[in-house]
Amino acid sequence: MAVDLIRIRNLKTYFFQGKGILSKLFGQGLKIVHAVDDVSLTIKKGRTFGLVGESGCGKSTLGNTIFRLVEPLEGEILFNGRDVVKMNPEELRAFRQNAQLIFQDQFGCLNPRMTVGQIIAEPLLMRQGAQARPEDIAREVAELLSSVNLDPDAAVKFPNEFSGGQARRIGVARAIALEPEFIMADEPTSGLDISTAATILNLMQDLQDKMDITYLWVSHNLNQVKYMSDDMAVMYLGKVVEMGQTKEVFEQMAHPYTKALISAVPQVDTEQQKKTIFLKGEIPSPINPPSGCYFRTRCPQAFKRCEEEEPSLLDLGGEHYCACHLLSN
Amino acid sequence: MKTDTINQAEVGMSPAQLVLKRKWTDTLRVTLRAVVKVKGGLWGGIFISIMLICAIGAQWISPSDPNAQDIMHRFAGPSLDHFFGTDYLGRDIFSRIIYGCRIAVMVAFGAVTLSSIVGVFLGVVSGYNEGKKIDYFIIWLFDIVRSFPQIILALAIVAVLGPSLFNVVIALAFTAFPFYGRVARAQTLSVKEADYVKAAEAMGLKPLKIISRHITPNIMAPVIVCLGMDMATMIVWESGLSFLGLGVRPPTASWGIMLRNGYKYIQTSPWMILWPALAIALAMIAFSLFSEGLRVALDPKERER
Amino acid sequence: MSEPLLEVSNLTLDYNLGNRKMRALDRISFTLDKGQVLGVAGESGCGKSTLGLAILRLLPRVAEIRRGEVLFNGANLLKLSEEQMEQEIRGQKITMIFQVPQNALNPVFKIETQMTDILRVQDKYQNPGSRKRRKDFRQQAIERLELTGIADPQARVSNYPFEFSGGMKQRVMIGMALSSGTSLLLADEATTALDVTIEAQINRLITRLAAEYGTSILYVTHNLGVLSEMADRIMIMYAGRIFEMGETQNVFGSPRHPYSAALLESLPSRQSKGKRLLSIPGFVPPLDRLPSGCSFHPRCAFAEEMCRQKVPPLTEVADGHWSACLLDQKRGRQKWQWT
Repeated sequence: MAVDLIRIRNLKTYFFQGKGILSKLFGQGLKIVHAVDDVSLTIKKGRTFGLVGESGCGKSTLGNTIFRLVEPLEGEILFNGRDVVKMNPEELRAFRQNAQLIFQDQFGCLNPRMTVGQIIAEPLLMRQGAQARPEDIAREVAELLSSVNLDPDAAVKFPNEFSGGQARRIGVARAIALEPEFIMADEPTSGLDISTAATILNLMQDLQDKMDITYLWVSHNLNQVKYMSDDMAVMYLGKVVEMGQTKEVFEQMAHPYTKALISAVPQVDTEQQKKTIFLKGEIPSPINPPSGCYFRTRCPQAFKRCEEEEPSLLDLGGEHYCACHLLSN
Repeated sequence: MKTDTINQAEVGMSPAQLVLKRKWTDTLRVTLRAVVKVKGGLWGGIFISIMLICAIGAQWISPSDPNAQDIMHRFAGPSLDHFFGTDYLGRDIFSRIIYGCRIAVMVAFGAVTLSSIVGVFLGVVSGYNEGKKIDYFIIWLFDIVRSFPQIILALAIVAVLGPSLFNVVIALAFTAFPFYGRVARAQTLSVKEADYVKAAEAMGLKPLKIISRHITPNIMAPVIVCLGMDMATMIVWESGLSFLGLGVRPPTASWGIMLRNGYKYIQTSPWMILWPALAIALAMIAFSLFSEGLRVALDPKERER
Repeated sequence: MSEPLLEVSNLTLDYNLGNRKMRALDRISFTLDKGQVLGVAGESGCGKSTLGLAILRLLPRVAEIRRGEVLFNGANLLKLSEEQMEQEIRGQKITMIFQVPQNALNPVFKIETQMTDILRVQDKYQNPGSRKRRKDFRQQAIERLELTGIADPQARVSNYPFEFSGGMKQRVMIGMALSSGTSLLLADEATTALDVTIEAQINRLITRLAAEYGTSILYVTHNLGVLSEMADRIMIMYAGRIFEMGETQNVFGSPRHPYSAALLESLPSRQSKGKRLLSIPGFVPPLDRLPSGCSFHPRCAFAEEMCRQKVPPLTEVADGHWSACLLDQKRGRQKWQWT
């Protein structure tokens, strides 16, 4: 049985808007954005955890909170049993070397004024400090580049000389440079063409097999999450509405939102095409979420209780959880 | 789309060195090469080079002593003996223009270097610590300085410290540093949100390293462009201060002093004012062209074309 | 029997960039019938966006149409004067919606102002001499918004673009683009930037309105799944050429070109977890350095010597199913099995 690598308990990340004097004077008051609202989940070692949801559902914020790039309001994030939230700067640095990020914007995450060699060498230099020998570093950089199927000559070029897919691979090479246990990939194939995306997915799969990396796969592409992940969670307005093994969630989806989301994904194979469930309207603002169940304003099956009471995650057995009043009736 | 890259042969470094570090001289060479490719950048560069040569080698280039008076040949028009003519004391204007380059260059480079170093440092620190006390303090400092009209402030400082070359540099630098600080701060605010800065943070890099390796290099392009533009402004201001008698002390040859001496004789000996005015105008155009070239050369996106 | 609305034949277009000449469209020929949806798919740089712009003649100055014609209702659009294009075609009979609606809406004007501007222009050319007033246009704008399913159009029409979400902006764009006078809608990655549930809504809206007005659609996207649900016919492009064209279920069900087959096999939705996806070796070639013969041959697993030499013509391999592959004849109905 797989060991837990990350356990998140009751994590809340809020953003506060209108703290300034002017907003106070003009009476707009404090606005609270419930970006991540009481999320608990467990990511198992050596597996891929898919996090899906539409834009603004807080999936990226959740990822950034794990790295403490955003400070949580409360809750705990246990990484190998140690709470990331309580780490001091020194411990945090050590943790961050063991956990890496792959960003959505494949060019934006590469410093345009550094050569690819410098970019990839940076984490290596940081670990080895002053006694690092340039020849060793250069050799390691070349090895890393070839492990992501790039020509070692790439080291002397600047990021803007590469295509999107190649830039993405440079980002992956930097992420695996320190042989981390955990990598969060935020929309790793956005902006890439179909065949390039397939190359990246294969590469990341290979790296996982080779280096036993745990992935947190943040994506709005359900097809991809279905293909890549072992476990998954569906988020809506900062809350997890359904969670479980990917196979289980796709086969026995319980939450109306999951159903709508999955049915809306366009499929190439006609036999796979289901009847699309069209949701009403758009995601409400996370500043003033609806009372009760956040999804009730768009839910085709909402009833009175949804308005009054917030549903909690129900165990459906087999580590499959869902937060919906329909299930407890 | 192949770009103007530095390949190994071009800079003659071992691959290991190239991966880890690039000598600043190589960066300079590549940048300058890109600048002269830009329309006008070449002309700006040529004129600035001439100015620099004149400034450094004034004593060898100028045909006569800039302060040697020759009362017999006062107000002489341009001739083979005196290319640009002579002034009211019979001094050779050509030599004085060349020596004036030295003052102009010293003031421009001195004031701009001083103010940009101070300004950028404060700007980056305040931008990186956005919203903290230190940020507010630095902004407050900038605003105080900026709330005085620049020329009045410069005049006041020189008046207090006494007119001298060094004090002019100090005064001009003091009026200009908030300008760099503002540019640097604004740039820092946008650059620190870039994914590569987040990536560096997520990697566990220390703040000082992040500032020096990831933020500062990426904010420098607009700062350097401002530097070029400001050089031109500083030359004009130095002339202005000298013109008012608050700059370099006479008889030192400065373009501003030459203007001051010449304007009285504009109807009888117009060359006395023509040459220094032309020198100032050319210097301004040259620095503007050059800084435009720099802007293009320093933009990685523009460089690609 | 369906009648053709748009007939493009042998359309060839170059981009002249300094000393480099890039052939962005190479002998493109296809027909779009009235009321039909033609999906155009391909990877970036295959010329699919250029195609839409070429039809509307909204090309950058460096582009040069070499030959070919674009017959729209029998009239060659390439021969029309610029005025005729402006008064009769663009924004009237042929309209376009883009990937990023926020760029198409000016942030400093109200939605009402921007919509009435367009409506006024449309009205001016459609009913010359009409004396409609501001109030009428406002009413018309509200009707259009209502049509696109925006709640409370009376109030929303006075909003600024920033008060609208991405999906709603795209609705506004559709509302401006689709009217009873429109006979062709060009959609360039119209829903790529949107979330799946919103994407489904918008695509349904486009389909519904198009059916109502009898509008044909040229739907350009890289998302094969969307095309499979929207399009009647599909066109697969690669490096400026059409590689395969036919009924949607034929192209996706039994692709006759190795490239289409490869694209379908590299989709994660078709593979079960753990199995490797197909990744086509190599890269899409830059348009100024295309390989000889079939431009796909260096990446194709089935390429033979003749692919290197001869450019494959687009031939009808089955009823209404076209493919540009030299090996098709030889292989008969055998599947392109990449893995």
